[in-house]
Amino acid sequence: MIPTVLGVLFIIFAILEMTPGDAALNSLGTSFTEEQYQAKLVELGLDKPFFIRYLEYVWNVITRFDLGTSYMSLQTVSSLIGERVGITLQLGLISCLFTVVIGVFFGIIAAVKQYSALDYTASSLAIFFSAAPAFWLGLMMILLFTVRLGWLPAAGLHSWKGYIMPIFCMGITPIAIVLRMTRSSMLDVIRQDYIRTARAKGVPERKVIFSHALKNALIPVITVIGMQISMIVGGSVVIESIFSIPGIGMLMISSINSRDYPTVQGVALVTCLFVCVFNLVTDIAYAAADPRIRAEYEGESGKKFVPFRRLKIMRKMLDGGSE
Amino acid sequence: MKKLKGILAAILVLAMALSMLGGCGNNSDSDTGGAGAVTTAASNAGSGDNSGGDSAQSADSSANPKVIKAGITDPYGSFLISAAANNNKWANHLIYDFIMEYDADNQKWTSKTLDSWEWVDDLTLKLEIKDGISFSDGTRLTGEDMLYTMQSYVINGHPEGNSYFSKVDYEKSYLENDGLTLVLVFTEVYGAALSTLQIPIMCKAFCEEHPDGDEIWRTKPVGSGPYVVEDAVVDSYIKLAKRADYWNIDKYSYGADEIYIYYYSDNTALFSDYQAGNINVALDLNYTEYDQAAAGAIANTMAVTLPSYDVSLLTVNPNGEYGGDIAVRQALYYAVNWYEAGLAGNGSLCSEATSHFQSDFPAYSYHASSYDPDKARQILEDAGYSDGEVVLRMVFFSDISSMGTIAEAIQAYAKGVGITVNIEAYDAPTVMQIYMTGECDLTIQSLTNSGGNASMEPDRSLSGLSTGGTPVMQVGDNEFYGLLSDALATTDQAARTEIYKQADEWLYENYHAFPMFETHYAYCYNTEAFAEFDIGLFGQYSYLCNAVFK
Repeated sequence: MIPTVLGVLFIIFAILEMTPGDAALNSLGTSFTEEQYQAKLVELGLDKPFFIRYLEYVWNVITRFDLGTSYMSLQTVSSLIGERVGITLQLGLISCLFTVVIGVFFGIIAAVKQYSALDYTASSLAIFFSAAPAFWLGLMMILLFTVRLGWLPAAGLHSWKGYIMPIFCMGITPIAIVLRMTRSSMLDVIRQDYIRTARAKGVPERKVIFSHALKNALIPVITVIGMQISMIVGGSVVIESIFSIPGIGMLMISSINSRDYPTVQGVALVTCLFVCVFNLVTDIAYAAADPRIRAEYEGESGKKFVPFRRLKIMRKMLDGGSE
Repeated sequence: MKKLKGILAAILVLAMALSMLGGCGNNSDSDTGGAGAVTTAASNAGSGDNSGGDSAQSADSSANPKVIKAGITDPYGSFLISAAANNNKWANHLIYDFIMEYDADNQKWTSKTLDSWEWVDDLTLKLEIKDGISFSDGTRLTGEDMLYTMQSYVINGHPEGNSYFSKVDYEKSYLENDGLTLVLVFTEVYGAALSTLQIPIMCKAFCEEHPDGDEIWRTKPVGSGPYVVEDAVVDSYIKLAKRADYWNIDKYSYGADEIYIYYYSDNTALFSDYQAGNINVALDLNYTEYDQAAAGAIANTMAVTLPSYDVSLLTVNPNGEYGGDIAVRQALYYAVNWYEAGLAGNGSLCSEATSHFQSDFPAYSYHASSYDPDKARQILEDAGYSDGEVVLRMVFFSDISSMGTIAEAIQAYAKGVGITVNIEAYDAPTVMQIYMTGECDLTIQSLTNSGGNASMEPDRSLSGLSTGGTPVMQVGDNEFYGLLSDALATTDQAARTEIYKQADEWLYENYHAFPMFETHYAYCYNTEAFAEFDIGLFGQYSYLCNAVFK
């Protein structure tokens, strides 16, 4: 995780370095002397070489959890992010919840009742919503629910109604993807011999689906859910812009537009950390769901580093073999 | 296994709990009783749905607070006046008082906070401050606060500090009369001083207690104006409540008890919410929305335009390959129907510009339309240019959609006479860097950058054409620079007006900046929502709306 975060930081630093536009010029306006310009560069720390600035930033983050000070608002970046991250996380987590519950549930239904009207409807909607861009979806919903029907507000989270459209837009694409993956995975599993055996033994259908089939079908679905959850947090920029939600996505946009480098770096760092944490949670969930992976961790006398362990297990699974 | 299940379950439960707690905490349900009554009436009016209307109308409105819910597209920044991120135009005019203000109707200076002002000599301006002005925390307002506010621009390195407030000699300036007389001593004769003093007054004691980066500057500032910030969520909304102890309440009684200013990232969402009745005032309308509102497409809606006191110019970089040739500049001037180009981008929200100054400015003088493409072609031919030989690069801000349309119109007109104009749009920092390095030929500029301030002196806008501006805009001529210096070197307003008239003529004769159009601002409001406001108070509301553009 640490190398990932450091790598992301380096890439962000490099991109900002190459981006046209001068942060010092942006804050000085048009009427200033060369001395004032040089003083502003020193004040913002932009007089130092790129690698020195990068290393100083990393050092401050590691030793003092100091993400710097915003060029525009003069607030610490950590307090700026702290004001807004709760909103983004709130929306993201609610979207995740819906993604898991609705996507998996309807994926199971679609698989169990294959070729039924429900299956066709769910699959068609899933294809549509997985292809529809979030910004288009948001604008269409505003047109329908705000302008035409007057049911929901167009922007802001000033009441519970304000949450509906952003959460829907944020979660519908992951729901669609999870639904399709769950359906596909379930169809694969319910055709297995052990499922036929369970049914032949008289096991109730509900138990066959949820106790036997689902557990095996969830393994690839967990991976997809983890990826989608990561994208929900990282991709909040579009949704927050459309619905004027004061989260870290909007903060990122306004910081980029004003070349507020410390804030851009801080938001990128926090987003990267979230993605890494969600990936870790996915790994834990993976281990919980797959006893083969759990066995890798349990029963070893000591910790042993096995390079590309997960890749080896996946390969065995794909080859149809077992440990 | 059980342990892992337990961990997963705990994470899920924690996530749900956080979501629910966060939902409770973040919801600022503005649909309280009184506000709800006003909003419901507006919604019914807007959508034509009468459900709930009876209950709203039967409610005793006098018992409910009068609430304005306004939508804007300017992001909410810091309330610290001298911060680079201060752009709360609406809120600034409601929570702060200003040193000087301009009466556009009568073309004269006025002030709520001063009893009088006079130039003692060319370098000394004496301000007599009213007694009894208090900030919302009870602190008495004196000249010390005014002086501190000006100096903070310089200390914080604000662009205005560099340009204007550095002209005050803070060592020699002093206070008399228990702080109610402020004697400002300038380092040089500064004829535009009164214009510069159109700034909100900050409380020195509060500023010293709270450093610039303090979160309080985004949530609970202290000002001497009629409203206080009761609640604020960054880039979401600001809630203002009327001060019962406002020092000027007898003379300036505002109708609204509460004002919500909601931020929208784009006009579509703002106007949609207005149509749905979620807000009762929509500010910052573009021309399509204004036209829709003015045409009666939305029930119970009044659409209003305000003069912006602003002239948009096309400026030519005289250091460019072709811009340095007066024949090319002259040809371009006659090639384009500037008003039509403005109409393409601004529609009904612009009028023809017939001077480099807006029509209300004292130095304004009428100049007839210049559009003559045949003359433009002849000029180029006489200068020896072939068709398409002249190539000009135009760079403008990508976040202003109308600029793109206007640029395309200019490009089309120019092509008609054989001038090729390549247009490029970038974000503001990139554009500024291009301007500072002089790497483009044409720019579209707002002359006064007045933001709706009729008094914004040409020294600020024409300075963009002078040495204070970007290299692409500077005219590079000492005669013009001399005129601007002469105008600033006298405090005689009549003399300054004459000099600015000469500067206007000079620009026409030398073809450096072409007036395109005067812009207007537009907003709309729900007439039913404001039926409870007195006419007199509504007059104040006009000021309220005008204030957002200052």
